[in-house]
Amino acid sequence: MNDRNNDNGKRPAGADLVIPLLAAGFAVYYMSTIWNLPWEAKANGLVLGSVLLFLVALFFVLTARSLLRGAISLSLSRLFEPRQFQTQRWSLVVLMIGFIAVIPYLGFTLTIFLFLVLAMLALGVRSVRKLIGVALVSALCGYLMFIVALDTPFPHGPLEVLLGRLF
Amino acid sequence: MSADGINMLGLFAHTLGYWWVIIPSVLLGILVGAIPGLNAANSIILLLPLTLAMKPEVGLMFMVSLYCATHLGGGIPAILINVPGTGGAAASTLDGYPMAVKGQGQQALVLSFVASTVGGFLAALATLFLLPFLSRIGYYVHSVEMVVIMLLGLTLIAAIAAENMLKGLIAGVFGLMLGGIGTDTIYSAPRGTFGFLSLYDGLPLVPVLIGLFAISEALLMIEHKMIAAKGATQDREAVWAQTLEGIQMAGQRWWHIVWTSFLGLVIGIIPGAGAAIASFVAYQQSRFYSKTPELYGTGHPEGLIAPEAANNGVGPGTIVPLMAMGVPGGETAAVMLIVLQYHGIVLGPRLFLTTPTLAYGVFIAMLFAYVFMFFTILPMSRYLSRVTIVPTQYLVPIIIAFTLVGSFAPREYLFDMVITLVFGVLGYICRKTDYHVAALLIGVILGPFIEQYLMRALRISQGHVSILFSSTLGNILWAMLVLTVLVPVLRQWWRKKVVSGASA
Repeated sequence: MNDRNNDNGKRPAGADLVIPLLAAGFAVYYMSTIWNLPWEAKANGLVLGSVLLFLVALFFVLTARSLLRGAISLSLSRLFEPRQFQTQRWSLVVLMIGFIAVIPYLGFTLTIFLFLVLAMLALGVRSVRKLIGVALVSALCGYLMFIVALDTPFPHGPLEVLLGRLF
Repeated sequence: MSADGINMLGLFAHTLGYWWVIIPSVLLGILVGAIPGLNAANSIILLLPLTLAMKPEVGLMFMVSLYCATHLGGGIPAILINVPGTGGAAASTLDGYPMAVKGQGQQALVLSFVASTVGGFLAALATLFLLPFLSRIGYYVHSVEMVVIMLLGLTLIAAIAAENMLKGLIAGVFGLMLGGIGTDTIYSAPRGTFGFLSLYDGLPLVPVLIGLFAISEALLMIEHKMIAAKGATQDREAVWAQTLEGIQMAGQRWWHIVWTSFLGLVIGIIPGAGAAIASFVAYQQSRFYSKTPELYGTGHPEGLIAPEAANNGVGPGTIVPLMAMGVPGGETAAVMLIVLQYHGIVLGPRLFLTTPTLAYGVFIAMLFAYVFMFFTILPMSRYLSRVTIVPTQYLVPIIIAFTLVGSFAPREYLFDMVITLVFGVLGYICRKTDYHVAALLIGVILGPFIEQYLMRALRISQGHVSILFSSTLGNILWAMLVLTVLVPVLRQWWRKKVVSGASA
């Protein structure tokens, strides 16, 4: 677990506010979309939204009290620690976005293969044999299990089309 | 509908003759359950051409065996990589994964397998003989009670899963609101959809589950070289003695398996309340009655036994209303109903008189499925537990790639992979800041159900909220809900008072 008291002895609690802020923002947005609807369509949302806003308000009051007492700081550090893994984490997120973007064009097997090679590279694997070997075996197993055996409707690309014609 | 007068021995022998269907279904079910994105319902749907071509009895044996096995399979990734294969296995992560981190992956798997198979077996056996009584439980639970049961379930999760109850409640209610995304059932008016047509049917559960558990866990997993903690060498040297140790641990807690599986059975009978609710309620009850509640969440065997036994106890329970009243108790039971209707079989009390081989055969098939499962899966635990010593450099990319694409499978929307990514980041923030992802997930699962039952109750009462407090059972449940919120707060206040009194 992270160091919880690393900001001049104060517990960094700024990150704790992210979820309540997102929750409150969503509750307000949700209620704005149901405001003009008949009561049957909005009753549940209004009740839940009100409860959620109350809970978030309570959380903010308690946080403000701790802040005034000097027990906490508003640092967001808990979200980003340990710092040495930030590059790897962001690389994985970027690779996931790339995965979603290219899978309709490259298909299931090729995308899995490429993603695995790049993700392992980002996580520090440097042996070409291991990079290619693990990615190839995993992609092939995935192809045999999901496309050939289970006929799961994953996106088909040039490789699936080619192999489908051959076999 | 009573089993009296029916040659039970003959029925057992008749059902055992279908071993050739039950064994492959069990193996397929374990595999399907272990892969996030696949579940019993969508697998049976995928295999509908096969099921419809079978004789109704064979088709039903196939479906129930597969269904039971998925409950067991879902626990495997939950324990080993903190990624539940199904929603019902989410509670198994709470103590199963910490056991794996401590190097007790094999013992955790064995505990899970024994609790699942013995729990499921006992629940199926009890169902077989108590069917006339069990089938009536559904009559006592109406929309009002369902609303309170769900709110109680969510509050319990918020209370047990998070270190801070307020954070747990915020996550749970946030989940409920997210579960309200989509069109309403009466006017089809879109609510909270951000303008995306793909969200008109509501938030898809599989991408949410994968995002909150698999992706967020993978983003955290990179901070360690392997899942098993440094110095925890047991899984590295996995031997049969650990399998026996796991069996012994389960044997010492046999009563725990019995009562939590019966709890799962009763919850399973209530239409709409599925394995996810049952496993969390069982976890909470187990902790509530434990002499060592502080050990829960740290890799405590009883914290793993309870959700696994309850999760499997749900299986026979879900089938009870289907066979006895023709009302499916869950998603998979609904698919089974369609298959049986296709074959012209009318479900209900008469089925037990006209076709006992089918009506009772379902539960007998479950018994055999659990016996087969016990002997097929137990020896595998030694090898499965090695996953925890695979370097995360290789494991993380594989988890991300296969679960991300798995989120595409149920609806075949690329947009669902985007949802997975968004919930992955949300789950990461939750984990880093101690908002338990399980509370958020259960909220998303229960959101649509709560609205459905609340609306039904309000329409019956023509909009009077007082209906929510009109039944005795409902009021007892409300009282339990209030106690669940107040007791931890009062206990904490009392402890502070005692400590400050002692230091003064």
